Amino acid sequence: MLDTIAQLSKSYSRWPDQSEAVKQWQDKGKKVFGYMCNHIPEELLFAGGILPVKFLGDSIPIVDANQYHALFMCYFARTVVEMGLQKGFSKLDGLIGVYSCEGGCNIFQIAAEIVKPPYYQFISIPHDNKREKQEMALEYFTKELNVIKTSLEEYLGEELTAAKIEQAINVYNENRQLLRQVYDARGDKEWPGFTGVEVAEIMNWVVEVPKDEANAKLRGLLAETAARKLPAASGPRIHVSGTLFLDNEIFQLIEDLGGMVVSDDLCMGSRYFWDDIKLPAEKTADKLIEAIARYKLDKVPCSCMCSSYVAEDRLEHIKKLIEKYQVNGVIFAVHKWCDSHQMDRPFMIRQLQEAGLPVLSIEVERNIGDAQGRNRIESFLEMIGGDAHVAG
Amino acid sequence: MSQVKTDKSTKSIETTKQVYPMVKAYYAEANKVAQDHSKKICYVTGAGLVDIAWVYEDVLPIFPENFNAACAAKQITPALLDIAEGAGYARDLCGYFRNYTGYYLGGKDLDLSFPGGGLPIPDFLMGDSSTCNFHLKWWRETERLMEYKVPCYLLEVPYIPPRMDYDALESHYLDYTVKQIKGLLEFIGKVTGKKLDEDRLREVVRLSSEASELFEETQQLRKAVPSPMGSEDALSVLMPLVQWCGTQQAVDFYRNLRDEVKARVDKGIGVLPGEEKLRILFDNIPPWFSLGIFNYLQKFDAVSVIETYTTYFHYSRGKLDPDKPYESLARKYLYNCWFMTSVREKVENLFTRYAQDYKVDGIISYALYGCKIATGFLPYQAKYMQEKLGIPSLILEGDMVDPRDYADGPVKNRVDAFMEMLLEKKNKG
Ligand code: SF4
Ligand code: SF4
Repeated sequence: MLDTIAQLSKSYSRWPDQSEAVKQWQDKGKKVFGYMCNHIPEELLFAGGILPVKFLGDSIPIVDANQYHALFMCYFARTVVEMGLQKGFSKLDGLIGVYSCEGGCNIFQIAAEIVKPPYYQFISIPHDNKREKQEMALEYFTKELNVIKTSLEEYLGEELTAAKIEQAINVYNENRQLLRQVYDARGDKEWPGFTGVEVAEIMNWVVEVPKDEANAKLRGLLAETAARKLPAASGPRIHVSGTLFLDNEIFQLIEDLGGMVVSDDLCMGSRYFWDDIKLPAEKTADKLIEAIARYKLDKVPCSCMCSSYVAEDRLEHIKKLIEKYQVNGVIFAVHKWCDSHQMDRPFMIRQLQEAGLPVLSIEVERNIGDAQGRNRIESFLEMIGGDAHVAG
Repeated sequence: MSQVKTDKSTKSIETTKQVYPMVKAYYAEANKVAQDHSKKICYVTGAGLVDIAWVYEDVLPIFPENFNAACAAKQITPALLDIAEGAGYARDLCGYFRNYTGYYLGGKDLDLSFPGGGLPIPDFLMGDSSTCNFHLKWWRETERLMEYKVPCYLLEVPYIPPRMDYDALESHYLDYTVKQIKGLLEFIGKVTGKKLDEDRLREVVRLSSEASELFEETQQLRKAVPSPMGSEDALSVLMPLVQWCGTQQAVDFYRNLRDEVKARVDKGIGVLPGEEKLRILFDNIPPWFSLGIFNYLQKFDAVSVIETYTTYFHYSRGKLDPDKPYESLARKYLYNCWFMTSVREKVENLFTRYAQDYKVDGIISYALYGCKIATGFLPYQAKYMQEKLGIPSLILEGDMVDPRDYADGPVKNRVDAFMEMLLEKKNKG
């Protein structure tokens, strides 16, 4: 791994109570909130000087959380409860939840009951928000975000002015643009600038640190890798589909076995940054909040959304990435007990296979590191490698 | 196909016996409509919004969920579940969905005695999200299954977050729900080619409210000691509320039920022939293939006196105002399943209130691995009830329609141990 990326890794921790970035931010007298899902309006928090840190979970054994939660929730979410019980969120000033998937909604509520944070809000996002529902969903969600804005203003004792919100949006949009450049560098067929493992680490880091600082670091990193000459990987080029992982094992495994992760549609991947917030012509606070709401509803959907054609829309995103990054095979690595993603998976797999792509579906619990998971990935890569060779 | 050994339930309420003929006649009508197309068939999912379907007289609403529960009661689900899983649907997805999908992906051609002769093909789909978003995803998957030929309108009920008090709902929650109710009515109008009759809408709201009120009165009567009606009946008499809410038929049914239960309370007639020693709160969706588990409790002189599940399908907070039909319906839909999905609301309000009002000695929760939203926090809830109110819980695990992992013997062993513990606790006083 590039030294610079290894350095970045040291600035955050999956456990917010042990994170250097959290500590530094609080040392400046500023607040830090934890959240679990991409549908949080991070820009609004950042506009108020609050650092939003995402719960990444951890590949820890679950000891006490089972007394609070049924075993049949995804392992990621259950580690969040475990962390809560083990005081992993003790330094956080607030929690902000959103009803995205049902398991996550459920778990977040429990975590909040355990942690009893000084500030707590929960957002109701519309899941059926496209086509004939678009306008009413937008109107509703804009109002919902305005309630959150008012609540943050009361908490902070200061107004979230249009200027602050616009500034935050600009920082976040720049971040998205830089991350897309990172992805383009990784996906470059001739001279890949990053490995899949490195990008996974960048993604973990970027959701745990202030975005303005992250942007400066990302610019440096892109400059550094422009001159880097990674040998073009000759093995199969893989797209990974799913949500997030509790460590970087799957990326490491694919790359150790001779493949290369060149693309993904993960919560902790392209779905986090693929679209930008479109700034309105009129830069009032109301219009800016509407722009944030619109972005949240219009962006590449997560499987937890329920609009008509939601799986079809996501498939479109995957297909575009497959073409752009010249993918040879897709690995669906979905958490056991993750309803929304499991629900859309058979349809998406069928469609991709019909389009002629090899697809492997593996189930992730704490991780996939057992021999069976490894063997299945290995034979999948061999199979594609063979095909690629014949075709080439 | 192997039968799974579970018990069928026996009932003590006469009115319950009306349910089966009602359902039978209903399926007969559905089959007729499927042949002659005299009405539009719509699949409905969710909790409570069936009343909207009854606004248009040439619409026949069908609940695939009831079909699934009925398949479970007939113990024919395993073959269908196998088919769905073979097609790549994870075994831990909602059992209702898997059974239905298995039915469509080939199960319907098997030689099985399907309830009502099978599901008629729908002309359109409608549903709401008050129980879960999974319903919405299920209907989206149905759109694909039906090759996008069947139009669909979903009513998404926003989840009420902890910041809000039900009596002070923020206006955008109501507005958004009202807009969608209008959207749904307009959609049905388009599909059927009929104009909305506002008088009829008000009438449906009045009928819906009346059925709701009568059902709630019955629920209140169930506080009596000895318990006049146990869960084995209550879960069966829920069906008309789910299916016919908004019709005169449902009102008549619940009037009969209320009268019968009231007469039993007045005369002190309980479910048990002898002394009632333990009163149980049953939580969550029951195993439809084994409702006999409630009768089994009688071995311990125990009755399951109230359920959470029977709380989710009606408006228990008084009357709906027919002159404000949209707002009334919106309030109903927002309220229905709130207790099911909000941890704080469920433990601090519903559970605590039920435990006290119904003099509950213990709680049996049925944890469904397919149903994340209703089930995830059951251990927390059990801990809360033990620590705050000293009421013990037993959490059984399984699925509501999938008997393949349900082992009757071990379940009963756990029930035995739990009931003995409760009896001992009670005797110590
Ligand atoms: S992995 Fe799936 S179930 Fe778990 S929080 Fe994410 S979307 Fe929800
Ligand atoms: S059982 Fe649970 S997941 Fe399935 S439809 Fe009902 S509420 Fe939804």
